[in-house]
Amino acid sequence: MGSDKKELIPILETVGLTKKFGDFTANSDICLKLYENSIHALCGENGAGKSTLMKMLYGVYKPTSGKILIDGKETEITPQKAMECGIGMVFQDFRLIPAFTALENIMLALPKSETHRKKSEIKKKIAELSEKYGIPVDPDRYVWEMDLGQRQRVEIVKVLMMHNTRILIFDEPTSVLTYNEVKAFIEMIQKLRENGYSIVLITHKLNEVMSCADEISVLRHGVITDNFKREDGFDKNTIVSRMMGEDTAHRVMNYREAKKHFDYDNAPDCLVCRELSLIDDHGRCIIGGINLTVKQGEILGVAGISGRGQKELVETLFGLRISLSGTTEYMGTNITKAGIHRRIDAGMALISEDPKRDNVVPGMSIYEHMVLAGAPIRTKGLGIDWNIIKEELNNSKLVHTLGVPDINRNLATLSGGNIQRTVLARAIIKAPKLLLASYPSRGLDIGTVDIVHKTLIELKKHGSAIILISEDLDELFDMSDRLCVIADNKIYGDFIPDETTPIEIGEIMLGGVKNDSERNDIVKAAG
Amino acid sequence: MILESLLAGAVQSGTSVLLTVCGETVSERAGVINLGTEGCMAVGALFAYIVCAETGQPFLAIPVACIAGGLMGLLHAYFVISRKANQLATGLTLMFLGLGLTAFLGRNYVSVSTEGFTKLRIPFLADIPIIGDALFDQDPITYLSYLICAGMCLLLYKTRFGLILRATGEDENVVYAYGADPIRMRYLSVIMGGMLSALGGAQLSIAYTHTWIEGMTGSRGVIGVALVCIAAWNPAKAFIGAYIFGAAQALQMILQQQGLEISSFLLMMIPYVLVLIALFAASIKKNGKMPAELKKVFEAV
Repeated sequence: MGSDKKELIPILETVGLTKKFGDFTANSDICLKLYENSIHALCGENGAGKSTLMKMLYGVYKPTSGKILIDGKETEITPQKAMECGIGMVFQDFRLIPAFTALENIMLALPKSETHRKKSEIKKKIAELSEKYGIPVDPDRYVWEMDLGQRQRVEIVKVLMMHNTRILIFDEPTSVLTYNEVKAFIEMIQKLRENGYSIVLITHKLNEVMSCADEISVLRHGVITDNFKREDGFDKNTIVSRMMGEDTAHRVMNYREAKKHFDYDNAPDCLVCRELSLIDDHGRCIIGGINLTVKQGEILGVAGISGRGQKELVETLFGLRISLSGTTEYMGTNITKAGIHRRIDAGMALISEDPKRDNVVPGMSIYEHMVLAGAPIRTKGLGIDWNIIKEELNNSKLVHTLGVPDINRNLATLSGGNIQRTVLARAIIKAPKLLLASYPSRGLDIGTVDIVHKTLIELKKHGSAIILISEDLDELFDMSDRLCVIADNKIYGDFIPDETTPIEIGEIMLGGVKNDSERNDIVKAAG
Repeated sequence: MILESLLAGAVQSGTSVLLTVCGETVSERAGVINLGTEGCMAVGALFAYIVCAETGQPFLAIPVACIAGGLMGLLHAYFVISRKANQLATGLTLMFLGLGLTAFLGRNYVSVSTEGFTKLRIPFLADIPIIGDALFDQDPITYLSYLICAGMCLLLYKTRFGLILRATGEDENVVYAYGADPIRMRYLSVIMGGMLSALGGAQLSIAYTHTWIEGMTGSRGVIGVALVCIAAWNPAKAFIGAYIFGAAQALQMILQQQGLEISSFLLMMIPYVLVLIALFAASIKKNGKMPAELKKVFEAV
C-alpha cells in the first residue's frame, strides 16, 4: 500500500458522475478512484447522497451523466453487468428472503454458470469462506430465525460465493451490529483486503472507518468535498467538520452546563413506579420489581442491551400494555389503570423504538401526522383548517431545527432518518410533561443527533421529565442526570453518571450484578 | 368392505381436488392467488368431455382440457400481473365466467354419453390389502395426478426454477436483482395452475362421472383454494386435504346407498364442514408459511 499505487489503473473509477431526480440533484460530478487491495470509505451525513452513488455503481440507478470505468474501460452498468464485472453489494436492507434458509438464499444468488453445483459442494464452500474470514454462517438455518448480524454475514458470504467478486460495496454495514460484532467486522474486511478484494465502505461512523480505511472521501450535499489518505494521516476533527459543514461542527455541546441547572433534591416527582412488573408478548414477566422515580426536569437514562424489556417498559408507562403488578403514579395521581388517552391528555408522549412500525401511518403526509397526535388542531367552521396548520408547522422553529422534510411529503416515501425526525418533532411539539424516548438518535447522523440532544435538553429545561432509552453509553452519560440499567429481568440503579464509568455500566448490561451481596451494595448505593 | 370402498371413493373423488390444489399451490407460491380455479375446472371438464364425445379419444381430451385451462390462467395472469388488477376480484369474475361459459357451450352435451377413461387395474400393486384397490385400481388421470404431485415437489424444492419461483412469491425485488424475471415466473405459474385445475376438471367429467352437466364441479375449485392453506403451500401435503374432501364425498354417497333417512342436503354439507374443521385445525398450528407476496394481496384490499 505504498505510494506506487498511484501509478496503477484504478479498478473502479467514476468520472463526473451525476444523478438528478427531477429538479433535485442527488449526486453532482462525482469523481472517485478505487484501487486494488484497498479500503475506500465514503463518509457523509444522512441524505448526503451516499446511497444514490452506490446504487449507480451497482446499476440500480442509471446516472444522468458521467461515466463509470472498470479497469480503465468505460462500462455501462446494470445489476447483471455489475455482477459480471465482479462488483458485489451488501445492501443496507439485506436482499434476503426470510422464509428461505441461508443456503437457499445463497443458491438463489448464484450466477447461472454455477447452478449445476451440488448442495453439498456449496455448503463446503460456505464453510470454507466462513472459516477463512471468521464469518460463521449456518447454511440450514432460516433467515427469519437470525438476528441482524447473522443476516449480514449471510449476505456477505453470498457475495463472496461469486467466484469473480473483486469489489465489495458495504452500505452502512455497522449500523446493525453490536459493539463486539463491529470489531469482528473490521477484522473481516481487513482480511478481505489482504486477500485481494477492494472495498467501498459507506458509513457515517468515523471511528470505525479511521481504523481501517486507506482513503476517506467525504460526501456533502451530493458533492465529494474532500479526500483524505491514510499516508497523510486522518484527523477526526477535520473530517467531522468537513462532513457536517463548518458552522455545525463548531457548535460544541455543553452537556454539563445543562445538568448544573437541575436541582434534584427539590424537584417535584413526575413519575413514580412502585414494585412494577412488566409482561412481554408471551405473558412472561420480563422485568420485575421496578422502583423508579423520575423528577420534573430530569433526564433518566436507561441503559441495557436492546430487547431486554425496554419496549415493554415504555409501552407499559404509556398505557399500551397492562402491568402485571405494582403501581404507577404520575404527577401525584395513581394512573396504574388509566387508559392511553388519559395519559396523553396528561402530557405523556412516546417515541417508540421502531417508529416506522409503531408510530407512523404510511400513506399519510407529515402534516397530517402532526395533527394525528401532537400539533394543536385549528378548525374553521366544522372542519380542520389545514392551511393554518400547514402555515404554523412551516413556521415552527422545532420543525426547522430538527430538519423535518417538506411537510406535504408522504410518510411512505421518507427514509428511516427522516421518519425519526418527523416522529421526534411530533412528540416534542406538544411540549410533553413526560417524554418516553426510545433510541431517539438511532439512524441519525452526527449533526442531527446533536440537534436532537439540544432539543431534549431544551425540553428538560422547561421542566419536562424524560426517560431516555439508549444503547449508546456515550449518549447516556452525556445526557442523563441519573442512569439505570436493565439486565437480567431487573432494573439496576440508579447511578450518577459522574460517579460511575461506562465500563461498570457495560458490565451490568452484559451480566447483571454477579452476586447478591454486590447487588445489595448497588441497591443501597442507589438507595 | 365399506372401508375399502370409502378409500377408493376418497381417491376417485379427491383426484380432481388434488390436481387443483397442486396447481393453485404453484400459482400461490409465485405470489398470485387465483380464485378462478373453479372456472378453470369447469372449462377443463367441458372441453375434455366435448373432445371425448366427438372423437372418442380420451387421450386427446387431456391436452385440449389443459390448453383451455391454461388460457383461463393466462387471462387471469394478464389482468393481475400486467394490468395489476385486484387478484381477488379478477379471480371471482373468472370463476363465474368459466361457469357461465361452460353452461352455454355445453348445453348440447348434457345428454350425450361417452365412455372416456375406464379404470385401469395395476397388477400386483392393486393387490395390496386395504389401500391397493383405492390407489391402484383407478383411472389414468388419477395415476397421472400421483406423478404430477411428486413432480411438483421436485420442481419446487429441488430445482433452480423452483427456487426462483418460490422466491418470486416471497420477494419479487430480490428475484429481479439476481437477473431472473419475476413477471415471467408469475405468468408461467398461473398458467400452470390453470392447466392443472382443468386437468382436475377433466378427471371429473371423463374419468369419474362420465357425464357433463353444468356446474358439475360443485365448488371443488373453491375448496381447492382453501385446501392450499391446509397443505401449508406444500404440494407434498396436498393429498391430505384433497382426500379428506374426497372421503367425505364418498361417505355421503355410501350413507345414501345404505338408505339412511337423512336429508341429502345435509349429507352434501359433510365435505364442507370437514374442510372447515381442517382449516380450523390448520389455524391452530399457526404455520406462518404464507408466501410474503401473497400477504400483500390481502393487505392491499
